[in-house]
Amino acid sequence: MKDVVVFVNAIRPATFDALERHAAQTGEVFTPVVLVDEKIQVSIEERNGQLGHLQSVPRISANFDSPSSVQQALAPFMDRIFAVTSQYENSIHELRKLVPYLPYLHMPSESSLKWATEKSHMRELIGAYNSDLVPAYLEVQDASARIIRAIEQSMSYPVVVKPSGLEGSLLVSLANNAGELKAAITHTLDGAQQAYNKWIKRQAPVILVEEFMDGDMYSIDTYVSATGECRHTPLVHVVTGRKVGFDDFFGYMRSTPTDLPQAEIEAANFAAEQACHALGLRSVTAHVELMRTTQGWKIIELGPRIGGFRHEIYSHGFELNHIVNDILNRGGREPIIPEEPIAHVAFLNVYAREEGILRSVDGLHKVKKLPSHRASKQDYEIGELVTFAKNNGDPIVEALLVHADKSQLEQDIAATEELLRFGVEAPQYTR
Amino acid sequence: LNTLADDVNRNIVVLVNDFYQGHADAMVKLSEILNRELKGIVLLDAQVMAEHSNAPDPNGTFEQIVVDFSDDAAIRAALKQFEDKLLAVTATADKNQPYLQRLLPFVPYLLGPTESSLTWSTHKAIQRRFMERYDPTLVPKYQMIQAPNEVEKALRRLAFPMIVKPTGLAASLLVTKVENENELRQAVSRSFAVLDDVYARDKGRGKPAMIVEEFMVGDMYTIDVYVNDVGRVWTLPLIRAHTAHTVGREGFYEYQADTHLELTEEQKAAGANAAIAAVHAMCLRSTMAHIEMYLTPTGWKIIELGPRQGGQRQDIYLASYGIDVCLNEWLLKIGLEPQVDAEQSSFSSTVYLYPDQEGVIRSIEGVEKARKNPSIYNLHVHGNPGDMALLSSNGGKWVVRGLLTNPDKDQLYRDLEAVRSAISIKTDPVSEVSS
Repeated sequence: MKDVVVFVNAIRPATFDALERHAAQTGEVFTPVVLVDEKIQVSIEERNGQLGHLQSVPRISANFDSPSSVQQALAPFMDRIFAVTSQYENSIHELRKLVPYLPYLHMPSESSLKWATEKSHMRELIGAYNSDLVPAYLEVQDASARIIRAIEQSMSYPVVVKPSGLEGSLLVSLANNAGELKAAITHTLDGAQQAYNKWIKRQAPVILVEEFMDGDMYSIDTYVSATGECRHTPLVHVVTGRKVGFDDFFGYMRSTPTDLPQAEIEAANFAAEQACHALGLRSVTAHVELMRTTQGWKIIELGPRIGGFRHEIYSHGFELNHIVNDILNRGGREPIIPEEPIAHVAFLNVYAREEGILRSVDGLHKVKKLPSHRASKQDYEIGELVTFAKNNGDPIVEALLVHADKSQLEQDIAATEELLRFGVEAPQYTR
Repeated sequence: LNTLADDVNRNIVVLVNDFYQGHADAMVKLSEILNRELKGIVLLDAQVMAEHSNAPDPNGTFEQIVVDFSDDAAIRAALKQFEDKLLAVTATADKNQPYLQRLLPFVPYLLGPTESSLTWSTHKAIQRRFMERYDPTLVPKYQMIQAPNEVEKALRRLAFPMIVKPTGLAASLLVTKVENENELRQAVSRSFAVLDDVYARDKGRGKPAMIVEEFMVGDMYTIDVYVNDVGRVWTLPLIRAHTAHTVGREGFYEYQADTHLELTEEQKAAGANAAIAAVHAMCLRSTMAHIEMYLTPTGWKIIELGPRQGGQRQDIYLASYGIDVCLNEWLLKIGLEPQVDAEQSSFSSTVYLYPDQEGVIRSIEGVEKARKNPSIYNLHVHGNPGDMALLSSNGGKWVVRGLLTNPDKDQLYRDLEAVRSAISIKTDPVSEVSS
């Protein structure tokens, strides 16, 4: 009986409900097991929000750099494994290490996981596959005059500076001229190692500078089968912080369904498919971020895992069990993708307008009473330092709003923005 | 089980670096089985081409496409033009496995082994470690040494006699048997002196290093197997191998390999099971493996494994059993079952000839006469007068190689002797040539 699903390093809390839902609907029961690299177990359990459900699932630790340790850890349930998945970007590194020990399961190749977690590889391979899909870019090591000149010779302003191995718009900055570019590169270089440590990234930081793409941002999660068939989830529209007045690229609001015409949706799906094929992906879910520009769809980046909050968004919007689909696809089965929406969904990441010490959070209890409110979470405690995403910060409040009536949802989004108020005090520095 | 056999758009099979006629012939047969015309491509690394170290297609039946295998974007761009038409890819020799390894992630929807398993299975020390962990009875005691001054490690752990061999080379190159500490030190010192050069010439896998292992007393056999994408293994009949050492000659190259066996059915089954265990220990899938083994008083031991078919095995299995090793390999690579059930119709033996003395080849005589021998299946000459010919233990390669087959076993062995007697490889010592 193949019933075990191995979650590498960590498991999303929503997984338990997702598995129960699947069992209730189909009678198929999956048994989750977390296999975690002992070298990062403590940090990953804290960073990936595992502390609240440590007892809910068997956790097995192993030294992922030791073949005997990995094989010993897998041995008790080797014949029962249906699929192996990594639900978090910061655990792809360990998934890659497991691949060769599980040759008779559907798994992505080791190289494809490396390529799909480093933007520089991603750009290079997607560009080689179809140069229309990616903007001009350069990998840089410093902010010297020589580097600035090289950038100016290969692209025009504005440009975006970003770390190659981080997702979620962390440390991403816009530069309109040489002065801003130099400052942005220096800022990203300075913060990169700290951010890599915080998000438990094991690769060496690399900085990318790329031509700014003007347009509307969307995302698709694509299930890539063992033989390369791509099945796409519905598009999610992403409103970045910049679009609502922040000097930052974080995803302020994600919403679905979109009002894009079918031809545009198909073009976006085709761009996502090309990106997956360019990176040689198979037997994974790929979270693909795209920009709809006047020159067509461009790939911003891709991650070989389900997108953040996409399970919640698709569950409420389409009754699509994204977490289970990820498992089915990795196990060699076809995912189930309902096409008709059942509600309108918005997921908000709310940051403060200033950085500093958080002194108050007001209005959250009123937000919780809005008709569309489904869930919300305050990520910072009073007294903690809050920063923008470009400075490696998290949102203060995350809120999931759902309503069958689009206009009601829009009213509640506006009300959430109006009601939430953060008191932030500039930090006092002492010598 | 994945199979690309039914996808009628897929009609291209790919060989990496080296062309092999057996695969070309098998492609034609596969065309008939699939009922569609297939096309062959040799994907050749630009550097390998510049070094002329590949086996070219003499008749141009396969299209040659040159790619810089060190450049990800170049591989990606080169493959895009026909990626939807690709049906299967394989590489013949150990030296080509690193190139296949580079290629595989760019063709993710074709069947093939994992990248790491190719690293592991082309490195003798890693092989030992994996097999030992899987089943300690499969392998002899061993010690890897990365420099001559690490000989002490082997002396502490192992008992004489020992075998000294490189970790990342095939074909018994630089393999030496040593009986005592003095011989061990000399063999290690001599091997390390030429190791970098031989690795460079033969594209050795991994960092140049040596492995020392306890000598196994027993009879040597080889077996070629197929493992599919879910781990099912098909084994071909065992072949009895005789190294030069066992017939009193210098080196451990395959002096002769015979299809005639004097084994019980139980021994054959145990040998096949040991080979299957070795394949699973190395986490191999969707590949052939050529496995060298010893039948010792304590059971079957694995000498080594390569993730490819064995040398001359296409001819030897075809001549004796009617089994087309290459066709089976293509079938395996497209997710179909290899056809391994066959009765033995003829006895076959391989013959490898080296010069008695190292030196510059003065003449190779008797080849045409030998080719007229009724048991001859094929006879190849590698080298010309003026070329340097080294012993296998010093990194040299065979000069003449062939296969003989005959339904009459006794006649086969008489003809084998006649062929060996007919061919004469004469060399001049290097010093004389220089003067």
